Amino acid sequence: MSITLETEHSIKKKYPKRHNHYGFRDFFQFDPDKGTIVDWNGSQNILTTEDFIVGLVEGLQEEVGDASAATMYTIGCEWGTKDAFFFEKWFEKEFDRNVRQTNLMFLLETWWWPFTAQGWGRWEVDMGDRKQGFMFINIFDSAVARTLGDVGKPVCYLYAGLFAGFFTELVKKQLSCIEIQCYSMGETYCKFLLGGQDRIDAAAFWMNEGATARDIEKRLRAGDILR
Amino acid sequence: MIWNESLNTIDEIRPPRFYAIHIHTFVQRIALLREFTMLSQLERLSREVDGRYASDAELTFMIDYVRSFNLRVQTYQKLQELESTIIQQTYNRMRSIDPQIFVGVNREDLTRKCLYDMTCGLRATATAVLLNDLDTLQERLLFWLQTIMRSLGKTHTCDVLYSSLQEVVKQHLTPPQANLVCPILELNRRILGSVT
Amino acid sequence: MTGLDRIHIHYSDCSSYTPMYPQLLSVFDEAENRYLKPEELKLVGQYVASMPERLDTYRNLRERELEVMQAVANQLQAEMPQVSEEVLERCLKNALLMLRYCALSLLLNDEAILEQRFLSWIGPLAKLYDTKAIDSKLYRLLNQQLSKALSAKQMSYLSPSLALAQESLLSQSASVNAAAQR
Repeated sequence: MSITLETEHSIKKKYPKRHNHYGFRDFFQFDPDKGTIVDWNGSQNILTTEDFIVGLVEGLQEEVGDASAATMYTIGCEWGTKDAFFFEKWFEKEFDRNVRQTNLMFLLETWWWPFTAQGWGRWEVDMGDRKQGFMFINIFDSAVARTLGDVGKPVCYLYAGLFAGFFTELVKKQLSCIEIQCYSMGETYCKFLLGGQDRIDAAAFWMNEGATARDIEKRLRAGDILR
Repeated sequence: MIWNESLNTIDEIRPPRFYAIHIHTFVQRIALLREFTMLSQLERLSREVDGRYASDAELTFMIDYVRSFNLRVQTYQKLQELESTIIQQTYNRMRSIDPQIFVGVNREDLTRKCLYDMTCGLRATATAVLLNDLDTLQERLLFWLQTIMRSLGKTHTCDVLYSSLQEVVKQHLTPPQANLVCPILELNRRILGSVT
Repeated sequence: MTGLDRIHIHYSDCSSYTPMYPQLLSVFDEAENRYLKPEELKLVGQYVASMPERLDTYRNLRERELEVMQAVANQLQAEMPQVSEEVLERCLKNALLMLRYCALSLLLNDEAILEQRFLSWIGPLAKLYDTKAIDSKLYRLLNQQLSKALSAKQMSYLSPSLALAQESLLSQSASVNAAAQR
């Protein structure tokens, strides 16, 4: 997705301690001579169109059929895992403190901002059920979902994998993620459930039976599990 | 040579454009701000008129800005001059509304941090007044700050801060000057001071 | 209905940031840290003060463009009857674009636009087609027509970018000729 190079971001050089650097012109540095786009954290970026997303999804579909969902989820997981390490480094550099000594919500918002700047969408994290071992993430303007439009099924496997990979690294516990509501199913935003495999399996089963995101939330909070 | 026909095919000799997804996924615009936003509008203009001329309608924002410039500079300089007074009075006002507002969760004194934030906020607002640019203010500062304030549970503080600032500013500025500043402070309050 | 927002990013928007209105953008950069110094405010003020005249110049160019270019086209054709219409047309189109970019440049008081949006890609094309002789004549005629259409004050706003563009384009072709003769 992005390669870390030792490249200089000139605005960052001038204002290294500016935390609000997510405006389009702040976050990305364009160098037409080199043909590069480098972001604040030193990653190289490429600009793509919807065609890229369509190509990725349809291409995978053609190659591996129904396994494309699982493939994208796996890609997302690897991405999330790698990104966790990358994030830890740049966070500690920017804020002069360890990720584990930081307010969790602040940490998460900071993690997600580059994704928003890159066009992956806005998010909302619901940690209300954290003690029960699961949580929800809402995504507004999912790049994948908006590209594919209303296709009648969830499509944000990449995101689900990303969250699973990242949060697993963050909390050092094996977590999985499943999309329980999607823009591509006619909803206004996408909703993800993050938790242990048993919770994810339960949600998948209920979804198969026609449960809505609302239903799933209720059942999980009531302590329902799959037998 | 028939010149007119040539004008229609000017696109041939220019390189192909490429498009990018840039999904603006931010908060809804506040309706009360119908002002033009200078800096970002200049940028937008230069993109949109690529290879052609702007119409008079597309140029009106520049004329409006020129007309309002003296008042903006005046206001900017007044804010600069009165900054410490405004900050001090806002601080006092906030304390009187909520005596615990500068006390942290662990009983620590947040005064210094808050005064610093207040000052930054006021300066960013002054800049937005000078350049008449709310888009840039939002994109470069407020949208990000909103998520941070929410994550740290500071929305109530921001709400009180930016309403207090408006009251104090009205006492020191003339009505035309205050009319430039207060809508921006109100924008700050709505974006930073709301929980959802 | 996806209703996606698209920003059409012309390749040259991706500039290594030489801001278009350096004074204005840098104001925001420093914003949270400090207020502008009086001399910085002055710079902003100067640009704003010049805006009405720049707007007039820009509008005048816009209104007179057709008349100016038609006169140039007629004269050029008369002076160079041996050149094909196709070639003349190409040169005139390029000159038209050049004029439009110069106009935008003077309006925003930013020569970087001219360089990044126009000269960077038209240069190589000019080299390829090697139209130096025609362009020389064309620019002479164009400048004459422009001096008639614009006031002296307006010309003073246009001249810097116009000269920059013309010099740059004429020097491009020269290097090709030199190389060809070796």
